Amino acid sequence: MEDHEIVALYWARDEGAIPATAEKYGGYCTCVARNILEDARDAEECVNDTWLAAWNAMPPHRPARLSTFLGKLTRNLAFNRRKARRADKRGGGQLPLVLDELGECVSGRDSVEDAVDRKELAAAIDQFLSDLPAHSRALFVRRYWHCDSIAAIAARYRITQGSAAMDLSRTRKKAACLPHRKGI
Amino acid sequence: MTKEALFEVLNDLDDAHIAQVEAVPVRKHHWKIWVGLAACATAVLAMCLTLPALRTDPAPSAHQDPAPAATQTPSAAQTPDAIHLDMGDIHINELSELTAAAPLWYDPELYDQVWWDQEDLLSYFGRNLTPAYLPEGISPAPWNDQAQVVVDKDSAALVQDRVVLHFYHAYDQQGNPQLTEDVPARKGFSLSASRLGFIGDCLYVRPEDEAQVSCIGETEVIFGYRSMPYGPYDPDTHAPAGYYDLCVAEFTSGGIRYQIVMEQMAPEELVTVTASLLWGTDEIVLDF
Repeated sequence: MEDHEIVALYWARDEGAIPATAEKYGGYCTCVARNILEDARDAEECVNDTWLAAWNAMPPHRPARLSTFLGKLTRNLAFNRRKARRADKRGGGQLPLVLDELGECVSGRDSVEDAVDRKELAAAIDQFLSDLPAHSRALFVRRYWHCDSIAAIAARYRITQGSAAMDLSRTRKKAACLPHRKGI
Repeated sequence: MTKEALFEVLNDLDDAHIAQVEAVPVRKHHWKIWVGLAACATAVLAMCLTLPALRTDPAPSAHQDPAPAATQTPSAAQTPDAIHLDMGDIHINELSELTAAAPLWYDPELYDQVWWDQEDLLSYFGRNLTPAYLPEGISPAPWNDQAQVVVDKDSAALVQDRVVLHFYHAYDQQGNPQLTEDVPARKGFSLSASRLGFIGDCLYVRPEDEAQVSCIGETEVIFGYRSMPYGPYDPDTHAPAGYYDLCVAEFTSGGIRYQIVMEQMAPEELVTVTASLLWGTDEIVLDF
């Protein structure tokens, strides 16, 4: 089923929207959830929450790209679930490693002075990614949006793990300057 | 800002960035397909080599000579449109430090500084040293067609033949590379060449014996990368204002030792420039 047809089901409040979504994007959303939540049952529940969130969001929302819309919902729900459980940092999964790496890009303080318009920062990051070579951009998004492991990224792009890690390291160093420029 | 907050901000990335990477499938090693393709390619190559030989030389032994295949240039061996270079085979070493070496000084009582023009350079190196591919916005320096070398006064022997060509984004009135506005560094690359082996005076891949070599065609190339800090530096934390890319390639080809030092450009550009210099074409496609 085409994406616009699935979205139309949501707008028509047709309950067939959810199985149609699950059939087409169940694997994708599960993958996103599993990269953040190492527990399979947690990931499954998170994906079910995604369908509910999608049901609640449409209407009024009409996503231009259903895959990324669902992916963002899943990522956000998985991260919130992870925070709620206060998972042990050494408990496995990619998230602790991803967060540690992202820590190189920020001050680590959460003061009032650091509060910024997150939309502005997101826009700055979008611009930053647009300016990156396509290869580096792809690695960055796979690592810090999808939370893919370095090994998975290396396999996907047929590069060595060392090469992938170094490319990401370079991008993080460049990104580290981004918040300062934006006054974060 | 905390790392958790940044993680959440990343959720608002532009859909296009996310969708773009999702379009790339995981590459698996379909060895059966590759074995089949290799067999087909071998058969086609054998036919290509055999049929012309049969047509032009009826001698029974003529088509058994494997020499034509062995002497093919990379461009001839690849598709006619572009040469594909697999980035998975390229290793970029981390440059852990930069060291400035004292340049050699030549006593004017004993040595002469001699200017070479483009004709001299072509005659000596036997080739045009300008790479076939130049990254977008990069142009050769106006004085790339001349170079100064050092000759022994008594024997007239050439003792220093290092030639440095510049390829940068902008030049001042004297032809010197200019710095970019946002980052106080040059953008582009320098190319050093020498038949006597004098190429660099400041960049090393350390530890040297652990540097991984990449092959472009049959040429062994050492690539290096360093994230270079630039000022102004924070007076309290000494943190730099930012970092820019600095990459190096060193290799020997045709009896010439080369060093390319590239600033503010991605390592992929260096790989393309190096390949274009070696293969003499700008039709290079990097496969990731």
